[in-house]
Amino acid sequence: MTLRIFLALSLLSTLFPPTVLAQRFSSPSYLINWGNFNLTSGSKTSPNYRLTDTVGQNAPGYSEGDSLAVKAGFQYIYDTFDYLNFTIDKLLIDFGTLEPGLEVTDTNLLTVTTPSGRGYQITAHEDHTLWQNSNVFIPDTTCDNNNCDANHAAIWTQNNKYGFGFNAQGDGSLSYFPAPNLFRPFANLDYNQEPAVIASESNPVRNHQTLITYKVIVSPDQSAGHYQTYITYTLTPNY
Amino acid sequence: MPQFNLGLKPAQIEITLIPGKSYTQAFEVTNNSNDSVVLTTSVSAWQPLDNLGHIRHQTIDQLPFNFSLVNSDLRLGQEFILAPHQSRQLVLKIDNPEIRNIDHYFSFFLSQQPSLLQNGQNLAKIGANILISTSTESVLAPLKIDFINLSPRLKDTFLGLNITGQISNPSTRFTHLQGKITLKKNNEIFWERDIYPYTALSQNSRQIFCVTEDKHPEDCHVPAPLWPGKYQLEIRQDPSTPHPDYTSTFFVFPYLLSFLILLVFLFLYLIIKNYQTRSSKA
Repeated sequence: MTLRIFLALSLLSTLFPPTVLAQRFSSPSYLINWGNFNLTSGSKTSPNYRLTDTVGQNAPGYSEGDSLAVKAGFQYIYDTFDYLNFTIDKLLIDFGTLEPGLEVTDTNLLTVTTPSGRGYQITAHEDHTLWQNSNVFIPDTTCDNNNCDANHAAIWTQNNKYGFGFNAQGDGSLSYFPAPNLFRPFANLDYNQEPAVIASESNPVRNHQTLITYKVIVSPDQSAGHYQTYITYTLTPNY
Repeated sequence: MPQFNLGLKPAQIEITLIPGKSYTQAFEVTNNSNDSVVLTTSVSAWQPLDNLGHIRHQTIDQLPFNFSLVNSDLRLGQEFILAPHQSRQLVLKIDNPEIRNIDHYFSFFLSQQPSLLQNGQNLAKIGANILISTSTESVLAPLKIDFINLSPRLKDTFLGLNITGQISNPSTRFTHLQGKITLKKNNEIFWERDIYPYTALSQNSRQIFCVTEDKHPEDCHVPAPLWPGKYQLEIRQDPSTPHPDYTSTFFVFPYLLSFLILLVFLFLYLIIKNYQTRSSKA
């Protein structure tokens, strides 16, 4: 009797096989068939919430090899946003040999891409004036009429107005530098000045560029030597 | 020529963290340049600067939350090298010791460190926003429409309509704008857009933008033509409520076209009158 029941059940299980929950992933180069990655996982939704979960994951976390990356478990690594990306085309600005009363310029190109739904702002500051040391320096520009500062641009065209400053032109800079001949000094951390906004946009952008033009004019009294400073550009997304 | 090219995601996290609890968030940083870059991590507090989402960082000696990296080989503030085209996950842990019922906003920064080989250079810093609410309020004070402006003042059939405005958040925690802007003509929907769900910080305001079809924010603009007649603008923050939070009624008329026709008639009238004067003199 027992044998008959066993045979009947075996026959039934052959005719009606149980559902097997398996994972199958494929790409043009790879095919992975795996019986189980975890106890349960996936996305659950209600009218007001969406929950994603992973239960029973072995060896959770992030691991990577030469050509692959595994994000096992941990919903906190979900890719919910695009990248915020910031590019500066060159890191060294070399004005070369300066001659008194002759302006020398160089440029930088800043490129920004923001995630969906977010604008951005770029602030800039210098660690200190262009200096050999704190006693021998090229002053920050005050522009033609001594009316520009770290937060306000003004016309700077006269070659007897010595100093170091910059202009920014691009999609996000128009409200800060309405024309290419308007300049500002960098906010100077050595003088306890806060970094100043030089470009911003309210809407998301892709590869929006800001052209920074640095300008320096030295007086005949300027000591010879190497002058340097660090300029820092800070990109933050709008909230 | 060395360059800087860094990507960071996510760009913003928004969390509720009650006292005694902690939160862990992974950020991914990618060096897209052909040069190695030396980076360090830091956290700075900020305050909103305007109603467009811009921020101003603050110098605070002691942050109110405890921030740390839980990466096994890296501490917050410790330098690390990111090779060309390499990505790295940074797992930030935030502990709330005892902050209650107030929002705090921070940036998680990755700062490029100067090269030892050269004095003076450009440096870059890139930050992600961290919005933390410690509020346990289950019911938020409703958002308030501060003002709505419709331009131009003379609503012309062929000029379209610009809708600008501001919504404020009087509650003790950040939230998101929501709702619909509806323009009706003869009680039928003529134009409708969702309000872009920008973050409205606690006790702050946010400018209204509309959602495009591809889910991006844009200025709220009703394109021409707006056929002559009486229009009603309605704004509902909760689309299920029968009564709108804001209504405005206005008339649209083809002022420009009328003016143009008037000018043409005036011109014709003057020509005819001139012709008649000459005829009568002859």
